[in-house]
Amino acid sequence: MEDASQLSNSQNDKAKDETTRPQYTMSGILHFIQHEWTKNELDRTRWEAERAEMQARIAFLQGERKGQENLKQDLVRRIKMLEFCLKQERAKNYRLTHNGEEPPSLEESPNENSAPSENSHLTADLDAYINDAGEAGGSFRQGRLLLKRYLEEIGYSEHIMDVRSFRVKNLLGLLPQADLPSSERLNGRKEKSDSNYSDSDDGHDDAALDADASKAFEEFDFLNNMDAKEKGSDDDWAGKGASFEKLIKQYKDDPKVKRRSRTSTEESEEKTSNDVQKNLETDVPPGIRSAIDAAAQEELPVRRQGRRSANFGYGNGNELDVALGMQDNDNMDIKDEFKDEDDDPNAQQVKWNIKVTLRSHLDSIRAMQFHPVEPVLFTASEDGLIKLWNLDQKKDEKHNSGGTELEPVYTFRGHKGPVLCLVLSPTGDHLYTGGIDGNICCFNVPSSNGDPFDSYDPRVLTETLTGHTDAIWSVAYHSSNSRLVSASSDSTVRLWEPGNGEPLIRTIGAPKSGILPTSVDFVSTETSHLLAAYTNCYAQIIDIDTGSTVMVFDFGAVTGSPTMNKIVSHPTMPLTLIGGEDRTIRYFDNTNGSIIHEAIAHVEGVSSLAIDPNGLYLLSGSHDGSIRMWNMEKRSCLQEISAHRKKNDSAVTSVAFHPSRSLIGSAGADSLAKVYVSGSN
Amino acid sequence: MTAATENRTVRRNGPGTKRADWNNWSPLAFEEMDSALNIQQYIQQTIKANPADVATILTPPLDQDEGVWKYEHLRQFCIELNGLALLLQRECIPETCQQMTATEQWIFLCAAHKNPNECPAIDYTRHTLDGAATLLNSNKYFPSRVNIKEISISKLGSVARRVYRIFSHAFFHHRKLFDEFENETHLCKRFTTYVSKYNLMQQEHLIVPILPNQQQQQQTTVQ
Repeated sequence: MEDASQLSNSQNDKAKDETTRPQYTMSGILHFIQHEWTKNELDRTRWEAERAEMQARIAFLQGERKGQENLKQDLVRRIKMLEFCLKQERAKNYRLTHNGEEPPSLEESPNENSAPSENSHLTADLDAYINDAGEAGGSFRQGRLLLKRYLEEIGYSEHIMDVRSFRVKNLLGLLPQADLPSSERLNGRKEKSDSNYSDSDDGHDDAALDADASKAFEEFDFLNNMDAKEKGSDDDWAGKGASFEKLIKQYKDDPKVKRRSRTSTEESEEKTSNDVQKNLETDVPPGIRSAIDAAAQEELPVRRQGRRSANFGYGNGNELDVALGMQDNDNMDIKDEFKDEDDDPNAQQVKWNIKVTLRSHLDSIRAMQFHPVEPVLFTASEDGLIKLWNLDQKKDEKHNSGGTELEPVYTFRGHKGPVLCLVLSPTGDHLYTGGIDGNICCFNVPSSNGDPFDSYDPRVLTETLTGHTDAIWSVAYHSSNSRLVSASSDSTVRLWEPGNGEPLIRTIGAPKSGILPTSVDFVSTETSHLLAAYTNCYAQIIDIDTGSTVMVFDFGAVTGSPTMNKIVSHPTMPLTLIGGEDRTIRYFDNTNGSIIHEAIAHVEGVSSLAIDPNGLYLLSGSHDGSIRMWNMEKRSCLQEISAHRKKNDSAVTSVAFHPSRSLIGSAGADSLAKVYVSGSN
Repeated sequence: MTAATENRTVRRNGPGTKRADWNNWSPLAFEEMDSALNIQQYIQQTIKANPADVATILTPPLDQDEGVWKYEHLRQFCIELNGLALLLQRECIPETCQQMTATEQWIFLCAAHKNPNECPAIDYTRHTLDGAATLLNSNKYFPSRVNIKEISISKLGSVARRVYRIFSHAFFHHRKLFDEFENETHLCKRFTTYVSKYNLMQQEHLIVPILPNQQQQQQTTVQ
């Protein structure tokens, strides 16, 4: 290389030029290439790593997304499940509050339920519409049949039968309007408020209604009102139900609103029918639905639509009413408003709920009474037995009878045939029972914590008072002088002193021939006075010292001669209450014998009455199967409980208040006794 | 009274009803009874019509579910047996009847207790009737009087077997009292026919010779 450079200048220059440029040597190039390659390799591996990292991230994110989707699906499924449950509950509630009527759109819920995936949503919706359209079709009828069977099982069939027969009689014009069963009237109310507008449009008013019917309307109306509220309060809709009632009232209050709604009716007609459809789809009881809507918007067309949908649900009843030309009664509304404003909020909170059902009697129970202090109950039945129940009984394992139910602690045997009445001494130590055999048995009450299968102690039955020649229907025990009074269908009332050698003290014959005593009670404010009710609409106060009549209660004009089933004295005031076979409860003034108040209280005969120890509340039982709690002062119904099933034409036979605890009881022809506790406890 | 109540008979024993008028209303056809307790009503109605007509009383209405029919009849037997128990309460005392026996062959133990107990006859009677009432009202076995589970029907046999011993004890130890009761109610005759018809007890356990064929048997067998 050096030789070559010395050869020529030009060459040298050239070489010089070449040396000024970078020296490309083989090794240098190779090194460079090597270097570059490694650099590339490094980058590549880094990219690879990065790519892998990214891929991992993508996988992770994809996994996460999948997880989220799963979660979402799960949640959707849960939502569907809850929706379904809610619908079932609403349907159930609806049936309860509307006396077993089919909810207007029961059919679609299974469809929605069976379509949890999004793909099938469209078909599900279509199905819903189809079902709505063909609601009167086979599936509806099938459902109805099923429901009917179910209702038969739980004993609602009688109610339905009753309702139906009332409807038929109504159609034939056999009954005044007031004779509709209360549940029916509950349904009918919305329809009526609807037809109200057209009525007032025609300048129609209610003078057409006779006095009797309108009086009965008033009575029933506030019952219905209470009904609706009570039933509502059983579930989550309580608040809504109440607000619904209130809104209706406000709405009715306002005459302007009334008029406006009337004019808007035509315009909203088409929209309304769409909305009805919507309401039906959502499977909400229409009343509640409309309450929600109204609460949310307070718009008249919506209220209107709520009513429309209600009518839709009870198409049949409405048609019948229209056919009958049944009109609205403004008194009803007035009473509603009055009632609500006037109502004591405390009173509303006290609701009685069933605590225990006592099953052990084999035939109709006729009488019941609580122990004065202990949570102990006595029941007397047509199976000839009297049973003692300890409601606080601890279940012991001594016995072989099985089950976890409350069993009677003691069974009293003393009467041949049905036992019809019983009374306890004020200390609860002695029990006196009267039976169809005409005898009064005096029992020592054994311990309420005893063993039901202890050996028989004949000393429990201390004495049998004989003398009556026919069935004994009522016994009462004097609170201070240990005397007993009995009423028998041998037409006499007898005064006894048990434990005395000659127990019969006095026999008081019937005041008129052909009438028989049915019920007796001592006057709380006058110790020597006795109350006696009779068949043929008669009742009087008797002086037990002389056996003479002190006062005859003046019933006024009464159609027929209904039997007075139960007479009770107010615990603190000179006031007497009588429940009659003519469905009426009457309040009498002991000082002058005049009637203070009378009201039709039940759909069928009132069989039993009980007053709480403070004299504030009245409990009534009727052969319509229900018991009702009344505010004595306002004479308004606070609660109705459907309590007992019918055997023949008897249902509830006895009701009772516990004298010192917050317990009430009812007993019926279905051989069951029930004990209720107040809901506030 | 309203038109509604005037138009039909009210089948109700209201306060003031005389003993003679008890349940004394025109009989109602079974199909007309629309209450859930129609079987009990029907059975009591046929008994009221003629307690001696055992065959009619035990003839179920058409298409009647046999389980419910048997159940309601047993219920009715237990109601009426309270009458016999009341009579026994008078003269069957532990001093004379220390054990529940009929013939000398068996001593019956009271099943009401956790460990079967050798109760005196009167206690056996009371405990058995009370236990039967509890069982027939049990939510577990008989939650409904409209539908009865197949498995619960087997319980009827054991109830029948136990309450029958009350008849047999009364027959063999308190014959006068038994005859008095039987003449009035024909209950043992009806019960024997019932358990035979529905095969609830074995024939050899039916030791009270109340039916004609039983009486013949007794004459032919040497005891």
